[in-house]
Amino acid sequence: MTLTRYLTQLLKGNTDVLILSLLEREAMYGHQLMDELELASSGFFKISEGTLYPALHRLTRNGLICGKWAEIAPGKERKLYTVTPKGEQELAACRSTWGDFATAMGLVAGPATT
Amino acid sequence: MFPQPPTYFDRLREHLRLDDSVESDIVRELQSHVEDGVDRLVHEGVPEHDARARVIGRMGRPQTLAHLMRRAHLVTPWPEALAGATPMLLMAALIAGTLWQQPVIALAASVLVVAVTLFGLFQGRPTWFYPWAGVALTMPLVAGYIAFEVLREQIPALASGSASPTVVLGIAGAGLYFPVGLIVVVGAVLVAARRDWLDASVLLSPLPGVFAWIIAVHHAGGIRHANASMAGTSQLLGVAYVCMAFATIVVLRARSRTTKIATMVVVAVALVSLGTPLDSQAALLTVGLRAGLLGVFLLSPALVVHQSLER
Repeated sequence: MTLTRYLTQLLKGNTDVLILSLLEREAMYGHQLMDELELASSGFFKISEGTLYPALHRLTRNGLICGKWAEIAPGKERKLYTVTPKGEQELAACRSTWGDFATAMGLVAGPATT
Repeated sequence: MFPQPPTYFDRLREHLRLDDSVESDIVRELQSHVEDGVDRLVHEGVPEHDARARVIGRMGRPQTLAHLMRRAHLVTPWPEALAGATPMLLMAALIAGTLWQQPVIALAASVLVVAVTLFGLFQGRPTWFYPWAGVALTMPLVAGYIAFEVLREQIPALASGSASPTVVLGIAGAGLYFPVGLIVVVGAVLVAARRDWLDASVLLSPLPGVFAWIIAVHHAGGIRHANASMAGTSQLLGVAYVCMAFATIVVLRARSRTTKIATMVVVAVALVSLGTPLDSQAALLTVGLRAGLLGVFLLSPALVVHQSLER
């Protein structure tokens, strides 16, 4: 497996958690989310429209986030997404699982100690 | 004047095939995304035309994006799936409980079905709309049978030439009613199939049960005289509609089209199998043929779409 492919799969598997984490901080619209994700990860995470928007709509359908059109500047409306209480619970559960996973990965795949 | 070539969003919409309101919302959101991207590039000094082409290029093929967005919307949430199964349960109660013999209940149920169907139409045809619309389409079938029953008694008078002008007009009206009813049903199926032929199949699904019920009522002496002799048939049809309620939930909730189509086929086989006790002399081949015919009927919108694509 190439590193790019591995990274793409990791990102795909964690897109929902990344979106929920960013939206927990503040309500955001699609373009803003893409920018914030890149900024918050120092350019590591770059998400495409084809991944972001289907994920936003899937999360909305599952009741984890909620999207509402709002005027963010005079004459400029954007669909702002916020995390629902159900989304907050899901995020907390994912964070806990992620913590356990990262610890276990560190133990198994981390550098060998002598 | 030449027609304008389809834009990226025209092509995206063409492949989305979702509720009108959902499609509009998706297109509006993606258009605003493009505007944000263009503004950014223009601010960096890129000419607007190039900026737009670059941002749209980043979004990939409209077919692919539409497919991904469609997948995100394909699973119907539980409340909507249950709303879609409700008209089937209503039919089960009306037929198995012989509630259709009580005019007030029958009228209230008809008003409810028409009102919910119109509401669904106004809402942009969400997924729960099609089972309701299918049940609404059974009404012309039932009304046609009632008209046939009323006028059947007058046919001898017409044959002997002693029928009043009102009766002649009534029979002519009934003669016109059936082709018009057929046009309404076919038209509704074609409109539904334009978005997704599976929606049209769901629309058709309540019709065979009502058709079987009309035949049973006719054999039992007609709507006014049908009595306890058709209790067994009513119960079987009630069970058939309960099965269809479950099948509707599976079809609306399933993500894979193969599962949806397989459910339709299983329903066709199950419905015909349920009917075999009523016709115990039917050979296995006849039962199989009936199941095949019902399956073809339920999946017929696929053939319509296939033919229109070939044209």
